[in-house]
Amino acid sequence: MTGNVRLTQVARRWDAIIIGSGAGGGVVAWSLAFQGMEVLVIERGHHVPFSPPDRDHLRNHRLTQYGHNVGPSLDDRRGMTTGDDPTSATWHSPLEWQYNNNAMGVGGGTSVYGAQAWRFKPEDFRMASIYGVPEGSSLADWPISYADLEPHYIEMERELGVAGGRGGTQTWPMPPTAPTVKGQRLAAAAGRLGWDTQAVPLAVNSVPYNDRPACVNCQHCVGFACPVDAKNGSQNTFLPRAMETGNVTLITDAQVVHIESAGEKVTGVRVVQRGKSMVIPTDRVIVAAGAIETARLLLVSQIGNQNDQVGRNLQGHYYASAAGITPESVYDGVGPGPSVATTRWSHGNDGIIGGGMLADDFVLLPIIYAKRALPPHAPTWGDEWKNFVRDNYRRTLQVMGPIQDIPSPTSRVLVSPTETDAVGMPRVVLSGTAHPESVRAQTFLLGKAKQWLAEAGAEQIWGSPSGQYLSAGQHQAGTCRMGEDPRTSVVDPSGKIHGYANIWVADTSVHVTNGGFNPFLTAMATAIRTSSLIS
Amino acid sequence: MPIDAHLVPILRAATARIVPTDDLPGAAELRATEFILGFPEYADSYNAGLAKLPADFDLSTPDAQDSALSQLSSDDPHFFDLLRRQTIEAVLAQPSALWDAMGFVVTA
Repeated sequence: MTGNVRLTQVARRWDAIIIGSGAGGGVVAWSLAFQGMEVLVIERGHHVPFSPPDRDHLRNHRLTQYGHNVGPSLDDRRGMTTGDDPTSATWHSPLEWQYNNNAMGVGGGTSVYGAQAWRFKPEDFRMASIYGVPEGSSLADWPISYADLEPHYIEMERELGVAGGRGGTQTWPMPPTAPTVKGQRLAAAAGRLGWDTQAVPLAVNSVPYNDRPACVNCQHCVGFACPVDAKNGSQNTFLPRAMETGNVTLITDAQVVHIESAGEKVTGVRVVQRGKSMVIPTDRVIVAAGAIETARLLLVSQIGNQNDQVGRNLQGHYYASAAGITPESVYDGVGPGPSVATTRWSHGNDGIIGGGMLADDFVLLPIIYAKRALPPHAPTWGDEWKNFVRDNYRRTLQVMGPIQDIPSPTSRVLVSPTETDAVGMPRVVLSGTAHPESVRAQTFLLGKAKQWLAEAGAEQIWGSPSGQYLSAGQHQAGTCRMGEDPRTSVVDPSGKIHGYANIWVADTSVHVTNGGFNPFLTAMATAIRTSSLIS
Repeated sequence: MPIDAHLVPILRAATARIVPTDDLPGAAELRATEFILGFPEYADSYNAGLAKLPADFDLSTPDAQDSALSQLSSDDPHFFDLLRRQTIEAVLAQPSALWDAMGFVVTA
């Protein structure tokens, strides 16, 4: 793929312009290219090299201590507030994970993600029907069902390449990635508890697939680009296949700052690349910039916000995370790491709305272990700290998983009327906090995580519920919710923005609820469904 | 503004107590001081915080140094946490015999 396309080279009318090359954008480009459309994909970031591997343990998407490897520039500050007034915001670095863990590069987050390729469960699309609508929340059913998405899930698993073997009623295209000592120990414990388990489905080649090699089980998976290109994302599947048709052009380091419209039609996009600005005309626009940037662009362009819905219902994932120390080593260093999961606690939990999945973790880098996986009683410095770290790294067993966040209309993306970024686009202000039911579900799932660890022989077990905070640090979703009613949603069930003739959203923004799972596969399945409905 | 030259020996001694050297390398061998000097944006914090340690800190016994650091951690927990955090980052975010002793091996 070339990365040096300049604005003047794409100054023509396109059948479709796709904004963003991540999970949604790549899939749509692939689909429209095979429909014969001439497509321009516009990506704000640049190509992420996977060789030689970038192995900075302090500047990556798992630990953004001093920078990202694939992310916004350090001056891309986020506003944070609690009410509806963006001028009251405090300003924060994009390195503060709680506020913005956006990736920015060709492939978006899929170039460096952990690649857990879960389908949502049928119940995940019907949360309001099953549980009712808790006070203060905007919990709702999706306007489409699991059955509507199932064929698209199957297509995405095959085309992307997902390893999972067999589990429940599913069979994945590749066998699971390597079992680990931790995973085998946890699977045995779950068996004794009577909990069903399965391999964690990963968009990683467990065997050679799609002309790329198998995973080499390295220790730097999540947060990094794969050293052998065995991790499957938009950048090495859908995007290159789309471009091979000759119908798709990718322009990088180019930011769409405004979508031009006249009445119910969009007519073009204004793009800035290296200080040059140009309006590029198009017959169709597909916005796939991620739940925060998509909402920002629509708000700035005053598109789709007739009923004050754009940016609302922002949700990410609260995680239940517990750890313990085992009497002997459970470490084998075999990556990627997540090898066993249970969905036993996803639904049907008395008094809890939803629930979540639990799985073991990726191989822990030493510095991440020291920052995030030491027990509260561990020494913090000196000889005692050093001895603790060397004695316990291999004996630390962790279990974690995302819960069903309960959406609130007051958790939202706003834009600042005064602060602009380097290209003059209004900056994002995030507002709101998690719904109390999310905290309750997290506390519940944490109890199950601890029970699992105890059965697996961990002797000291710790993990606390989070306080209440805006859940938007990862897996952001919900800001252009899909629905039949324009008063409570932004896009219709096909993904097209209510009241417009030729603009669609194809990313996690359209998720009504975000599942108790990593959401990218659902974003892809929804995006390919939307693509099939674009005319 | 960089960290004051006269405070650098104190920084070197303090980091060497936060991650001491034993049979494995510590902050000294793993160049934690040089790592910290690479962040001029924190120099003001270091200048103010290190000045709270005794002027002869770097010449004191290890026990006296540990007492002074404990005192600092209660007097100025914010600075002590910066010092502690960056020392540990310097030590653990790079390959060393400490990784080997922990059992973290990079295979590919």
